[in-house]
Amino acid sequence: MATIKVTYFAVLKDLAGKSHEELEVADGTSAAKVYSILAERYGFPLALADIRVAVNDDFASIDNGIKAHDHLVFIPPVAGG
Amino acid sequence: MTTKMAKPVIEVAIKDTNLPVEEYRAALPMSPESGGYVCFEGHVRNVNNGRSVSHLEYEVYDTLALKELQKICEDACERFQLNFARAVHRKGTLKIGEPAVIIQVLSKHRKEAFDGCRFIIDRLKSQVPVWKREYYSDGSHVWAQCHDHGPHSHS
Repeated sequence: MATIKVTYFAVLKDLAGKSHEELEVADGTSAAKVYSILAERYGFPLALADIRVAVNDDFASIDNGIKAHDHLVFIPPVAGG
Repeated sequence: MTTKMAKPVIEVAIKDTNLPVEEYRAALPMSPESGGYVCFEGHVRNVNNGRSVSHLEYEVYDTLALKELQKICEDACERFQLNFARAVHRKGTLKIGEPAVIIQVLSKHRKEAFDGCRFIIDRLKSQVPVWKREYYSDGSHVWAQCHDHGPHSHS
């Protein structure tokens, strides 16, 4: 198992009711799978196609496997400017 | 004679206090090569999609936002031969009329300056991890959806 950190922003933070947390997942689990687990737990309305993921503060493929101590941020559609 | 362009100057920032737009204008690194200056300021508007807005809250993933702003500005400097690019975005709570974003560019000619400034604000809106919560006069609030971005690039 691997311990990872997940940080939430915007609508995901509201629904999770927290800004970050640590999770235990199987080593090599894809970021997409982690999102699916969290989406079910917290009722995230966004489909995988509508979000991006950052791993350790860089955009990453949502299909990549994650490893212990990775920091994941799921990024809902942005609205700056 | 060929003169090699000096390395462009880039400044990016996320601020949680009112953007000092006059200071940014006064502190431009003007040079004899820069004939064109273009600035875009985005201010908080009182109405969006027909609803009366009372104030806004911007949430920012600072680390990644700064990296992306830097990359966008570097890209713009290369594409449009800019000598200078500054991109600063607010976070936190903003009142109506307050500046939310400022983009400033310097280039040799006006076309590159206009195009470079437009490029940076467009990319910022579609790529930089910033979220906007709109608070309405009736007390309700909602996270704004970005309507004018292109397809997300799932790199």
